[in-house]
Amino acid sequence: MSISKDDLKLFISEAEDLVQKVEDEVFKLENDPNNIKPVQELYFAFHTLKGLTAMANLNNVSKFCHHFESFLDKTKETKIDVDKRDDFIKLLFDSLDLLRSILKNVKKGDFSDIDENFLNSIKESFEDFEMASEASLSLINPITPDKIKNILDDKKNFFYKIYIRLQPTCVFKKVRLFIIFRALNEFGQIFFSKPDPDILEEGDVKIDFEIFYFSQKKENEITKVLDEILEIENKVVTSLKNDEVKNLVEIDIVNWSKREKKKVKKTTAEQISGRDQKLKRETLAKISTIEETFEDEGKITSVKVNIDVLEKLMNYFSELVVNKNQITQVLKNKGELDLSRMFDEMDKPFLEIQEIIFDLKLVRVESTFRRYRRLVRDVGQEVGKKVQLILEGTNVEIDRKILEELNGSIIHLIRNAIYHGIETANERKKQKKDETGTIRIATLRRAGMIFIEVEDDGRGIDYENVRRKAIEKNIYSKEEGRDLTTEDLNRIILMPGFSSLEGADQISGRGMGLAIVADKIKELGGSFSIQSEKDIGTIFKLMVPFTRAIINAQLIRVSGDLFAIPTENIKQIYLYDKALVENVGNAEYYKINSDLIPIIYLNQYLKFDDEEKLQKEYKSKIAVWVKKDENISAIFVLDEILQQMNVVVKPFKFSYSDLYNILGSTIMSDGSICLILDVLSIITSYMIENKFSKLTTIQ
Amino acid sequence: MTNEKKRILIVDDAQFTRNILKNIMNKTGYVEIVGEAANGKEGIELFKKLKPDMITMDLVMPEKGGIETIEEILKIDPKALIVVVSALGQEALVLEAAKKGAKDFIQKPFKTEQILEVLERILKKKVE
Amino acid sequence: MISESEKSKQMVSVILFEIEGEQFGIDLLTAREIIPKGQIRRLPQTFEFVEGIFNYRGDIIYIINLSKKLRLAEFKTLKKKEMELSGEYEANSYIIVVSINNIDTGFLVDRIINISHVKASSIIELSPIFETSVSIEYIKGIIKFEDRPRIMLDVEKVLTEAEQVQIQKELNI
Repeated sequence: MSISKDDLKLFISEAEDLVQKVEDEVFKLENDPNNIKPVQELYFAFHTLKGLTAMANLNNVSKFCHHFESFLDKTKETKIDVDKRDDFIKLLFDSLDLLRSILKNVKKGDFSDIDENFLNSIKESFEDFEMASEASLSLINPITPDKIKNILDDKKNFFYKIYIRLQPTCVFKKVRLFIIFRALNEFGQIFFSKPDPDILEEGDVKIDFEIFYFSQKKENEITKVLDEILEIENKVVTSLKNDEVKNLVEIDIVNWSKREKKKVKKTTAEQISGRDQKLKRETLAKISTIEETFEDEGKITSVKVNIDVLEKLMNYFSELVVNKNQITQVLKNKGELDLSRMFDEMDKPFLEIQEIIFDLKLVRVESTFRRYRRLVRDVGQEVGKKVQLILEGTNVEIDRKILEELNGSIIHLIRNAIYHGIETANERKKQKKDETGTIRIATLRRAGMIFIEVEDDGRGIDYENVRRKAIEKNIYSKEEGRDLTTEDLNRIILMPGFSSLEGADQISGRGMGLAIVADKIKELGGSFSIQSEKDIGTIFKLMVPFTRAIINAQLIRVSGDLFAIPTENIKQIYLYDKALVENVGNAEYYKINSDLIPIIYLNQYLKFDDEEKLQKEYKSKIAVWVKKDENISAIFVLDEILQQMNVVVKPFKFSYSDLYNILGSTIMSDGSICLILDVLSIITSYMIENKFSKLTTIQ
Repeated sequence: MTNEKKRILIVDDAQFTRNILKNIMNKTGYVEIVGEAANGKEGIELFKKLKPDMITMDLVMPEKGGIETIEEILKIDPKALIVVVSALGQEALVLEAAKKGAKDFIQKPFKTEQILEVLERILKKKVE
Repeated sequence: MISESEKSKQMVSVILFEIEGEQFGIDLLTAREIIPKGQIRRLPQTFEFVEGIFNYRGDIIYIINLSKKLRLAEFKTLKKKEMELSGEYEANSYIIVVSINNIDTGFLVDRIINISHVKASSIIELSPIFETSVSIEYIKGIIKFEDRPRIMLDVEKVLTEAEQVQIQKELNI
């Protein structure tokens, strides 16, 4: 391969930037279709991608980009047809998937280009698409069986069969049909025709044809519309009965669409997505596998790192730190000062590695949440609802692992909101709501917790129905049921199996699986709650710890109680030596090498011992050098040091204590609780309390 | 019914075509040719000035073609009634014109009846 | 609307318990469970009335010392002193788990007396004629029993708004 490794990295990161740019612009275009700027930006992006991929010898990918470029070039001047816009945007999204999958392969070292045949077929159908966008009439919109009921139910609609015979001298039949259909569609909708719509739309008609049409206009008004059109020799407008319409839709249209599917060449979009179905599934269903986060993609020299590998790295590193500390301690005890000093010099690189690893583990929620735009769009389209997504607080940082774990739950909530929460545009109109439903995902970090709200402005939960169902299903007796509070009902909704009961969609407006979401959040050490109001909307509130649920911690004992210190905050552990304590002003410092480090006696700080006990000679044995960052550190003096272990952090949901001093708690194997100290906060608050003007060690 | 005559603007680069159209229309007695333009540019100027009830539009003209002219006129007045007068073999162009908003079309060579039909249907005027 | 006569027929279940020798009641519906006291982990730098945290079925919940919260220790009754002397009295031996604002919290009490079913009409509003050992804000009403009345505590109010504001502030740091 002729490309150097560095060049390859550059290629990948530039290409990823461009692909991201394409996605951003597609969203802009979708939101503001009349804005020509995104089209221009897309044009440039594909143009650059074309050159870039050609340089990487991905010639067919380059050609693929070229097709987009030239099409966009045309589109820059002639705006995209409104009825073609959705196809066009879908096409762009699918191209994104394709490009991403290619880049993914390249990252793995797989440089296989797109298949030549595939490219040709793409090119062909692309031409079709262009043609289509220029010439297709698409003035006949066959009704699908699922929609017929609504249309029939609307009593204002009249249904007609219109027979039209053109003058034999009519030559430009395609234009003539266009004019006829356009005129009719202004007052209703042509929903089927004989000959078939695709034939008629091509203007392929001998002299006469029938169209099926519904409108709120009366028969004579429709005749009047047709009266204004030239080259019509004869026309007959007849009313259709509801069951005739039904037959037409359920038999003729269904058969036609089956024929159509077989016959019609796959659209470009379908071809592209068909090529890499697997990828598409990944993107849609499992929108974020953390291993391909955008965070990585945005940076110049990004590489894909498997989160599990990162986790392992972290754990092994922690072990290493502990071992090193033990060795140093032994060496010191034996008086091997030279050796122990050499080991001490390893501290700095050790610390740096630790920080890097910690940083690697934090990621902005944006990296995953931005993908929800796509999800909302796709699911919205799938169910034919207009939905917009508002993201707030996307710069909040959270542990990758937790974000990864959360992802599935949030996707579930979004899908739920679109499927069951948000109403159809029509319903919303009736409710005097904006036709477009809104899903808002707001993220907020408070103390050690991340709060995420997934809010929709849909139909909300009908609590009375939940109550009724709870009684019907004998979960509660009639009397008990009557007294259930909203809080109780929320709890019932989250009961495993309740929402999956038949008909749950109608009662709660929610599908199954909320119980699973609640469980998942609980598992992460968080909590999950519901707030909903009928016809106003629903807010799902998720609260999860921002740090990893599992941390490596050093267990210690202070005043007889068990605590834990995250090992990542520990620099060194020493045997406490009173001789090393020095007083400067009112404060006490511990002497380490030539540095003086402020001392925090944990028993005093935690105020666990009463005054009497404090006055007695304190029998502290251990000094733990903990750090806030490079410059700020302290010595924790404590009673006893126990083992190190991985603990699952259970953050406080709600606090009566100085939350910022306690990171959370963990349940030990015997069921007892151990508090995990928040070293950073303790150092900071201690420094402030004791008015250390500078939060640094004295050199 | 008012006695006011319907006012028509003819946009065509061929004097010959304009004359034929004028002759046929004048004979009806209820329309009046208020202006004639030999290209799109002139056509737009006259349209602004005259505000005619209907415009007949050739598609292939120097200076400014029919398609562009239709677009600009409809930008000025979306309700403007434009009837395309086209030559044979221009189906794609006529379709384009229709998409841009032309109300209808007739083909050259046209017969008197065709012109009358246009007036009747589009201006909703019965020929006596 | 529930008519007066219906109201008089309505029954309320009340958990009766004892703290510092005095008996109180809470509405059974507000309670989730009564469990024997287990190991409670004390918390540093917290409100005095917070006894600590407790592992309640894998969830960590706060334990409120009702005696301290209601400042009952200051009113140590003669009865209790007697019982203490005779060694009969065992303080803080049960936890009543209640749900406040969707969060489970444990109330530490000395003794569970029983669960009584009383007529809704027999729970009356506090009137000045009663002299109570507990601050009025925590009292939901007075339950009339045949022998003597007991105070019905307002579980939600026991954690007053002020404390919740304080907690909110802490969360914002």
